[in-house]
Amino acid sequence: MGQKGFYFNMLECKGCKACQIACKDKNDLKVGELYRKVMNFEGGIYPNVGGFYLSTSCNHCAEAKCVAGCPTGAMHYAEDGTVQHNKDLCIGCKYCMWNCPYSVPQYLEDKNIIGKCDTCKDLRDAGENPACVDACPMRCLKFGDIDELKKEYGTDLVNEISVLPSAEATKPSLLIKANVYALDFNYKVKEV
Amino acid sequence: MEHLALTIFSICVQAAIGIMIFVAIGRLLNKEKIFKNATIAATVLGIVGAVASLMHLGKPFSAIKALYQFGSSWLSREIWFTAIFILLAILMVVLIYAKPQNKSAISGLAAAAAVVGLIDVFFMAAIYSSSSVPFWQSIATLVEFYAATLSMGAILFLLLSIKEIAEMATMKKIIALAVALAVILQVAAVVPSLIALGASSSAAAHSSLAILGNMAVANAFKWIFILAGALLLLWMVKDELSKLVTNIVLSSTILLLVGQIVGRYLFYAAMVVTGVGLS
Ligand code: SF4
Ligand code: SF4
Repeated sequence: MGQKGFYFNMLECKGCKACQIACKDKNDLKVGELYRKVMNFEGGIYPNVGGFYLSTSCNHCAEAKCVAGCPTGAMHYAEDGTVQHNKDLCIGCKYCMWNCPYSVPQYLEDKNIIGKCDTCKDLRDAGENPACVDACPMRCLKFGDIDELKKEYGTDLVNEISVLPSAEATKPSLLIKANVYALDFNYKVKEV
Repeated sequence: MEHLALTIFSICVQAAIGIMIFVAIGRLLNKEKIFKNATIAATVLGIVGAVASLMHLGKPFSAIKALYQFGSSWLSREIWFTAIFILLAILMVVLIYAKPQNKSAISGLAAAAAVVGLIDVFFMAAIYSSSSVPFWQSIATLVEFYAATLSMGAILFLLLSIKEIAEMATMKKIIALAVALAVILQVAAVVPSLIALGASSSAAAHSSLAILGNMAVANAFKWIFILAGALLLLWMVKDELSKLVTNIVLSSTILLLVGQIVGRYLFYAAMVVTGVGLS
């Protein structure tokens, strides 16, 4: 089965964080724990200034370093092409937190194990969308087969922008419709 | 607390491996020597290190599951080899007490443990250099781990076997050389890696440098202690090859150990993963 992942339309995102909250609610996360986060970056030198929003989560990487490093096999590739985490195998060694370049795995203090986005597997199995996708009022987020998403949303999609680490490391299954500031690697941006 | 558990783990296991390397060399040079204190110390340090590593886990009682992914995970490989090293060391202690006359078996175990240990240090370094932490992704990690293993092992072995090696001039030379070489390599590897970190465009690399900068006093202590310990030992071995002065050996051991421990704590404390993240 092909690689599955998220599509994010930066050009339409208004930074409302509905996806972040829907995700937090769906996964019943505690204070300080996030499986999806919306960030706001700005930068440039007057008069040439600009910014963008970025909604990120696990990128279900094709060459996931979390999977390669996990000593127990808790982090694994599921048959549907997503990267899943087996709660029964995880021993909370936190090695995946050092390995994921996107700081995705979260240590759940109350459970003593790791947690991360599972693409709302239960909802998808029931034929629905992940919670974040349906929560977005601007319809910025989609989830599906990467190749099909590319066909549907155009050829100008990227899996790496200035604030993200190099896509070479893990080959993230991520498609971003990015604005010029996000694509300018010389542009000094900072999170606000 | 987490940094502390990992510091204790890696320092203890590396010191244990280092001691075992010199026990193996010592037994090779002189078949009559037992090096009982050193062997027991290596075993105890290995066990203490393993227990400390459990403290860092969310689920210490499920630690056995970390053995499942030898084929893909550096961490899994390291846990396997640490476990085998400790088992070999325990076996040696048992034989030293139960069958001391079986010298070649004990020497064989020492050599096997030393080789397993040397490979284990490589696995340990790979855990960090293959991660997504720019500060750890340099050759300096590997060099520092081997340097710590050799220098701590040599000096602890000397302290623990001071009477047994009194007449072994070659052994004393090997020990002094090992400490000198290890410390020189350590300095030589760390300086360029810090320069490279500063030149890196990665924000995480700069955050790590900033953390190290905030802990500059501790970092200075690391180097002063390591260098002072090594110099003290060299100075003594040069002048007093025939009689080792226990107080000086003890002082240089403490200096070197404190230096390596402080350095290792900084290694963990300066951990910053690449890129923007959820946390
Ligand atoms: S984003 Fe991180 S946690 Fe998700 S698959 Fe990639 S490496 Fe693993
Ligand atoms: S914390 Fe759990 S998922 Fe992460 S590397 Fe360790 S065992 Fe694997």
